[in-house]
Amino acid sequence: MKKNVIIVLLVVGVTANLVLNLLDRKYEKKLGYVRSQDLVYAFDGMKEMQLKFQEQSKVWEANMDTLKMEYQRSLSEYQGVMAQLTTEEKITREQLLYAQKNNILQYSENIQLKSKEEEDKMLEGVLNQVNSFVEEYGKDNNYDLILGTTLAGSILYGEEAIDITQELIVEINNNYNGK
Amino acid sequence: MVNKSLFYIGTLSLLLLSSCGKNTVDSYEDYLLWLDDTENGLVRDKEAGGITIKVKQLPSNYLAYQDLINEKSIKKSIVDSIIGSYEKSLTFLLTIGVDGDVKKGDIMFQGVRTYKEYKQQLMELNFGIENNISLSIGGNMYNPVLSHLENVYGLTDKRNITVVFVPATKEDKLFYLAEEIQFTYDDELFDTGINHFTFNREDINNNPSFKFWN
Repeated sequence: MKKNVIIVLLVVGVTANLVLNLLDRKYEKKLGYVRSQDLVYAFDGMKEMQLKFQEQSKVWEANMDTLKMEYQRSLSEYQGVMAQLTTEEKITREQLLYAQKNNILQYSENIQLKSKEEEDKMLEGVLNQVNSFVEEYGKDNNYDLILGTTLAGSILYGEEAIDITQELIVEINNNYNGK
Repeated sequence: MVNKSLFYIGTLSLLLLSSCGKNTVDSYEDYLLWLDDTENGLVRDKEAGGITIKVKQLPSNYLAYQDLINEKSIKKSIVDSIIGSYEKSLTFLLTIGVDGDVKKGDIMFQGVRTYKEYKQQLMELNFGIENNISLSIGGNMYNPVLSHLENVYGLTDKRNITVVFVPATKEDKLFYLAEEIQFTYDDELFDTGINHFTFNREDINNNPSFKFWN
């Protein structure tokens, strides 16, 4: 009789342990975190975007240099003939030089604005790609939550084992390059 | 004895090789199913910020079939001639749409606030998109010789753009032989950034022939 009670108790104990383990596993959440800045800067899409932006900036700089050179040439030319000009002619030439200088300043301001606009637009494309990929990666790999470290310090500590930055970099670059 | 064995091995190898050759399909519907199956490597897609971008390589026999779809009787010589002319180029179908989750509605209205902006977007998709598409084959860069935005009269939320590439010169063998073909769409309209889609020559050459045409 006593033996039977012990067996029943053992069976109940083992079953309870199994059920508790299963429940624990069911409610165990899969978490990971990403060093956002490292991911974005190691992303091939970001590197390609930066190259594209540099190429575009070179064109703007070349245009700026041309405008400056033209202004310098006009100024030197004016300085060379200034002594032979009448007061009226001097005023006209100086007004032209002034307008030319203003054009340079205006162009410089415009390209600064345009440059900022283009950079923001390109960056938005890159961030959209990164965000969409992380979401897809999370779903495919059954993550419940993927956190991202930011400079603002929203994550103060994360165990290295759940840092998925490196594998995400490899995966996102393969995806970006169409592999 | 040895010669006889070699003969049998040779015959068997030939039979095996011929059975590994091109597959065929029985109907046009089967062909379309094959073409849309991502496993077959002629369709690649990406998604970013609620925008979906799909690129499909259109095989030469598919394009020829489109040309001859309404013909009642077709001579094999004509079919071969049309397929042959399409084989000289590479044609892709770029489809841009929304995922229906993050973004909804007609792609043409994405990021558009005024009629002026809508017109600008329409102009870009019609006449400017070819400046943002390129093909990279064996280190060579190709720009489209033709791009065409399909008019859908508002019947679908996505838009199809057919893009055609040809080799730079007649001597450009890489265009036809390089193993990897990379299609790039540098999206400046819908904020999805630069998108690369890689196709393998093997997959392109492996498209089934139309059994029902013969």
